[in-house]
Amino acid sequence: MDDVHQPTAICVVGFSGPFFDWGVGVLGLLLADAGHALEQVSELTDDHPAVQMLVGIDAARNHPDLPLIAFVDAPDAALQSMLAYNGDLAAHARAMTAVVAGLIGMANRVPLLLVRPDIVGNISKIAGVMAQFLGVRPTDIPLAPHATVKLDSISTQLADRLLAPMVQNLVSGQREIFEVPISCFYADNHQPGVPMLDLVGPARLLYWGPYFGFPPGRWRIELDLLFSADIGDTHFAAEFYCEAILARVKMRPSGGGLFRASFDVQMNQHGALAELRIWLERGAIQGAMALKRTVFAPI
Amino acid sequence: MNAPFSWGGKPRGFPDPVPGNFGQDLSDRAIVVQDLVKEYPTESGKRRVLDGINFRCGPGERIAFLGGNGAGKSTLIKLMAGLVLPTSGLIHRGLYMSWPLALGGGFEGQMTGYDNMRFMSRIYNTPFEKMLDFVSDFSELGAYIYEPVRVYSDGMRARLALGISLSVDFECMLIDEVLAVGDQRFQEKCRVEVFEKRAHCAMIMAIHNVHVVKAYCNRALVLKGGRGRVFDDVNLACDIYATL
Repeated sequence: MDDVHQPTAICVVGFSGPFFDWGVGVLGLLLADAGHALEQVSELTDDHPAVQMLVGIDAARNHPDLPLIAFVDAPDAALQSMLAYNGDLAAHARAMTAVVAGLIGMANRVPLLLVRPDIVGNISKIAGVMAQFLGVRPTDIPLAPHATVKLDSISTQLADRLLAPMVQNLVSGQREIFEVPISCFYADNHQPGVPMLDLVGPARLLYWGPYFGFPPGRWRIELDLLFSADIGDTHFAAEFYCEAILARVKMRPSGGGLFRASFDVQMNQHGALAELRIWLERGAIQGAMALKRTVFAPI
Repeated sequence: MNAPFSWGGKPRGFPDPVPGNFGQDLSDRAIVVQDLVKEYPTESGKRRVLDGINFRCGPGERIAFLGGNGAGKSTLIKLMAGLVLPTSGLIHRGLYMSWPLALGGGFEGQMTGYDNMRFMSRIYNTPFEKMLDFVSDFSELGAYIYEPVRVYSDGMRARLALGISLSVDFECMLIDEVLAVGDQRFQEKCRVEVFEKRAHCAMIMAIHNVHVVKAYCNRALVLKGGRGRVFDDVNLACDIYATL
């Protein structure tokens, strides 16, 4: 193997968990077989004795000239392993969407290797691909971990409706419709088990979040909003914010019932955390409402 | 002069509310408003200004009406006073209630302030000397007391009306932005007379000044779109009002 192409530093990105750990382990094995060490660093230094490895989407973004390997596990499996470590679903969702959205924004980066669990069943093939990427000879590598996935309903919604379409977007290059589960949003004075927000009170923020990374491109955001029959003359507004207010729409329901509001957003920020805000624009003395569904559709 | 309403609550010439229609105990010592509706005819059809208002004001309680311009605060005050009649609903006047303070529309313009006072003192069974002393001191009209009311400015008329209304021992005072009368010194005088010397009186007031509401009221009715909601939390009511 021609060691001229062997990198001295690489970026590695993925969802924290067994699959990522396996991937980094394989990198270490392949490099060790070629007589090189692999060492994770926080900053690059010259004349480092080992191949330096920067981990994380931010590092990948800050070093666009380095080879990038992404170990992207199945979203439900990755979410399950992350939840086993720490039950903060929102934090994991933020991290995972930031990774995927960031990778989508780097789709044209060279060189980039995307390692997915659906191809690692063929171990010899993946060993060959990774070795070629590193500029070393292939060697025997262990099987990738596999776990039976069992998630609760909210986590399943997150994995199926949001993360899986985003990962598919990353893999295929085709933008997919994805939905943000309502449970991912923060709500004003939310009472567990109470399906609607009581609007009585001054003008204020009703819903905000989810602070996820969203893929770049032009998107149509659809909001399904349920209003009580006594909504009266109540004024609402929805905003989409990512480093600036990217879109704003005013809403004034004509009565009770389920309504849909939609507006278009141009996302240029790769993986930056974004926020949807729903405002009560004027004080209310009656009425209730609920955010029922939030969908992002590619335009 | 036509008194704005008759003592005991029932407008003259109108029948008693039918017992059982609203379940209201007519001996209830309180001002009670039930399902009050007021509509006005307009070029484009009937406009419902008040749509099912409900509240209660007992002895010594103070309730403020809060709402944007055109929300119906003054209309509600006029309904309470009997100056206009409701389209439907009940107003039970179980407390001795004033007319809207500073309302000068009931004076006979050809009569002097003095003579109007004599007339009012007889109607409201208040000793005339007591009324004269108080009004002379409070209204600061000086010699104008002995001039016909038709020559008074709007401010003078309001000060006379306010003085007369404060000289009668009402149990419940109706207030429609009365503190806007006169200069700053007079307004402070009004505040002391109304809110401090008559702290025992029930009050129903339509007012924009949230500082007064927070300082002196224990409940607030916020009006929006013809509907109303009573809040025991006056601070919350003021916050809602601030963003209507």
